[in-house]
Amino acid sequence: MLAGGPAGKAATTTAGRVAKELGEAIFGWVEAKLAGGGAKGATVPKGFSSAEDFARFGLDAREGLVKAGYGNVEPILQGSAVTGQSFKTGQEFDVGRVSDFDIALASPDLLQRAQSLGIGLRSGGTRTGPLSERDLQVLGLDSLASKLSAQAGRDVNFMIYGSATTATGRAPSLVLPK
Amino acid sequence: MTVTYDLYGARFLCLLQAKVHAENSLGVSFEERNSTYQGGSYYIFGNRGAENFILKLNLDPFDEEPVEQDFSGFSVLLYINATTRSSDIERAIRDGGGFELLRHEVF
Repeated sequence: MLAGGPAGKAATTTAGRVAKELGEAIFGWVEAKLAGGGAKGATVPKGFSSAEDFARFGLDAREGLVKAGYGNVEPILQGSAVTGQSFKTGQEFDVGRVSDFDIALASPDLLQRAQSLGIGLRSGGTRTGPLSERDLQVLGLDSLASKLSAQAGRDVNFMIYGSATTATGRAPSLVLPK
Repeated sequence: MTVTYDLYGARFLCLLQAKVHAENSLGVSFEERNSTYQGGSYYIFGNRGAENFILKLNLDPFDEEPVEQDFSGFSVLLYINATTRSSDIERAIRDGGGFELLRHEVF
């Protein structure tokens, strides 16, 4: 319920939340578009030394997904590497502790595969939770997670979404370079 | 070689209390990390691709519901990943108290 609801405070809160979500969706979409054209001139997220470093990571992630049998997946960087700070505390990326890379894997097929393997879906069936190492093992993504973590020098976490639109609408995002 | 993935939960400990408890029980020292997907600050011992322990809040980052939906009564989760010494670890955790074994899977 938006404007005109019975409780003014509740309506304001809801409207505020919708506005925030819309803002995040637009930001995510713009950032994704910026990154979609490749590394040249694109935003370099936190944790990468250069656009080339980011591009190499993107290529390796995409190749690793193909090798694992998931060729139609769009990998999208989310979390504090994109925003520069912790969503909870506001603490800056890598200050006082190591910050991870959080990567959304957008694919209806992969989401369906996860569900068929008993990995629970959330948010009305549009995504999984953060994949545990047990989940990575059953999906055959454990080697890719290990390889990317070693390459990046920080842990890489995955979450599966049914579509890139849902993922970028959920949080600030950068599509990994092709 | 088979490896085991075990999940433990703590009902009555905050994350910091659980860290101290687990460190004492297991004789390890956790490192703090930060991840939006893992719910903010969390703790890890070991590395990906080998045995590792992860201690985190049972909280999904986006809907703020339990990330382990079958164990919603547990506020803190301890994942024992890719271990070959599940029984020894279970004994150590049981002796230390504070955690309950929630899931045990062998691959």
